[in-house]
Amino acid sequence: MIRREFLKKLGQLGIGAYGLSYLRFCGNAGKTVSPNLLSFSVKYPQTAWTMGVVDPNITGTFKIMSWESAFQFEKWNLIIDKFFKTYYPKIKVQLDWGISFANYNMKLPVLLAGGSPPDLVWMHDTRVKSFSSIDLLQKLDPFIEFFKPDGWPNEYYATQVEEFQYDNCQYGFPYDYATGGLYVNLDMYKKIDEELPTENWTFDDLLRVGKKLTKGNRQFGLNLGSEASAEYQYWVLRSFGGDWFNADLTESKFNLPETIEAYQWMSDLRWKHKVAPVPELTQGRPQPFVDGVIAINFDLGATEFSDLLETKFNWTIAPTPRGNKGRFQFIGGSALSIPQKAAHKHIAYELIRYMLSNPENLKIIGKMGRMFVSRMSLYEYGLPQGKSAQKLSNYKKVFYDLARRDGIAVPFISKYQEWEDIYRRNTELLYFGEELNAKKVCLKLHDATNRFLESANSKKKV
Amino acid sequence: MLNKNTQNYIANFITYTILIISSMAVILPFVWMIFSSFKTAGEIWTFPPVFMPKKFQWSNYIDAWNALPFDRFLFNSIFVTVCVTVGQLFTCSFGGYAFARLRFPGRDKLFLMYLATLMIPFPVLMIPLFIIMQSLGWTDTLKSLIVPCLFSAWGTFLMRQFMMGIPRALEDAAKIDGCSYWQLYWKIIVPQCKPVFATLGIFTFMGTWNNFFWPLIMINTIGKKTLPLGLVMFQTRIAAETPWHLIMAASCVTVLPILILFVIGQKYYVKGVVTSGLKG
Repeated sequence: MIRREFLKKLGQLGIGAYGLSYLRFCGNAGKTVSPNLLSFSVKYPQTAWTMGVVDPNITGTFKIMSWESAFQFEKWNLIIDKFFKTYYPKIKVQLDWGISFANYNMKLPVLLAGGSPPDLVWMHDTRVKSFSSIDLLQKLDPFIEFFKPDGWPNEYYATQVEEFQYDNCQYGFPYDYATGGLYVNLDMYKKIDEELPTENWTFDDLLRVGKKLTKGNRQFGLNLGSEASAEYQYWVLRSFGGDWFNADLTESKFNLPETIEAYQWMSDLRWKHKVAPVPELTQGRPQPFVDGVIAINFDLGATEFSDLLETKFNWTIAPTPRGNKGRFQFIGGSALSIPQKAAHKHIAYELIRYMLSNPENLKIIGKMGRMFVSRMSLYEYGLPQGKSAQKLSNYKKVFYDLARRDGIAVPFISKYQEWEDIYRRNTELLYFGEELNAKKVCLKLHDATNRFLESANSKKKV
Repeated sequence: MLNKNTQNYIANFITYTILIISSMAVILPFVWMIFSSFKTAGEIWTFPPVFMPKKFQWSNYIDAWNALPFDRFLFNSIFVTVCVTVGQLFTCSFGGYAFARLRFPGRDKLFLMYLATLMIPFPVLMIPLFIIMQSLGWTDTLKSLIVPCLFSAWGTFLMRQFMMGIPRALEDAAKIDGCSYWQLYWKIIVPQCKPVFATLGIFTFMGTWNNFFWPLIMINTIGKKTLPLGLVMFQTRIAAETPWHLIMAASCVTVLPILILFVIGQKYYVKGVVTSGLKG
């Protein structure tokens, strides 16, 4: 890759989250290998997991980059090792894992822009559109069409399939399904005369119980997180009937009365009703729920607290409430993607298909991991095991059944990181109590978002 | 009116109190790291924080060491750090000597230009460096961590400033005795520069030992990772799942070589900082 091209690509990406899409329109990014030029001529024997396009005796290095930690990568390693030993025994596999999420998102843009990216990369839903909008990721559609994964797309979570699309093309193959719910401290809860939250509870019900559970600055009834954490609050917003953008992502919806009402409700939890902890408290405590300060806490359903809470107090899980405009549940997840300049795209796709559509492998990933795997029918392998399974008998209902019914994909736009910065700067005023009137903040954010969308869309047209 | 002794006593008391509090503020994170390295995963998250572990978990050190190839990380870190430190001592002292003692056209302008490179932030340098390493085929090699770091404008500046303070009479006497430029450098200048060599050596050693971002970009395979990269391999996206007790244990081991080096070179380090007019 010549230097000018490299600089253009890197400029488009920027370095780190802030600049990721800031310079997207600095140059023409579309002059890379067209997916239409991919060859699919079958020259070798096909197997259930290989297309027969690549010589099984091919030599070279296949590079994989992942943010999974030392312990989490073990499950992937088992499957990757088996795949290459079976189908491409002469390929040397280079695994670059154990890079923390933040560092991963600094390294990946440099490698993608540098023209020598890995063949297979881990991709987050918050970033896939930023990369795919500037042609740094390979469209998976030609591969899917030629060598369809079992059950695609109907047996995969629709929200996850949708999250990894850009311009109606698939850029990532989802591998997990992370949903949100409430963690309830039963020791605190049994002191009030109330039923546990259900999916039919309203936000008013939650507030009422939250007030009962709050005891000054020692114990807080509710913690739904910070309104400055955009993606984790989107479900609240939608429950009130609000939204961030219109359907075609060209206009802000922060001026809607319903949007304003949702932000006011979240802010009031902390500053008016005082049932949620103030930022100073949560920032000083990495896990306030684990510390026994919070009675009802919103978090992802990854049974992440199970080990830590073993001996501390009795706890359970419950569904998030419904709003005036229905019930919406947080959904997030990650996928595997193939960089546009990857050297072994066909093998990368075969490996993705092998790992994420093969039930035998998904069972391993589910059992050794802490999330639901890509195929809906294999949900049981993402359920808590052992003691946790008994304690959390409603886990499936809270994090799987209701999520499938009410789950909602967050509208991550192609320059999401840049917009999120604008969002955070404004909503932090509410979170830190510097402004108590959500309408003022939302209207300011409305103008800023409209300016941002207008600028982004006009550059896109150019 | 207080007498002189009492005044001295009060002044000393205030001085020592401030120094002790300041020292505590600096030492506390290290002590915290050491004690945390003996805690269980649950104890790490306890709030209010507990300083001492209930029971010392010596196995954390073994677990951390066995979970990842820390011996390899350690070797890579030592190899890269020693190469860069020795290399920089040579290149910076050569450069410093030339800028301080040799006379050639455009010397001062060249020095200013060289010094100006200090103003360029690393993310800007990273781009051309990455292209160079890629075109040389050095990505994912230890060479890519060593060669670009062998030269330092800051180190050259440090050396130049120190060498300018060495009396010219020494050099003149050596020249009269027939010394060549190499002999002047090696036999006259270098022996006078021990403190600044120690200062630059320690700074470079620390900087290279802790260098994270450049190795993160360049290194892709586990066998070539350095200790700072190895440490973050334990981190997960979900904070509660990160085995901080193992990270703390591995961090203690990581800090050890640099601590030993500082204790050994402390005398020279302080002298070098004082004589070159730098503050740490």
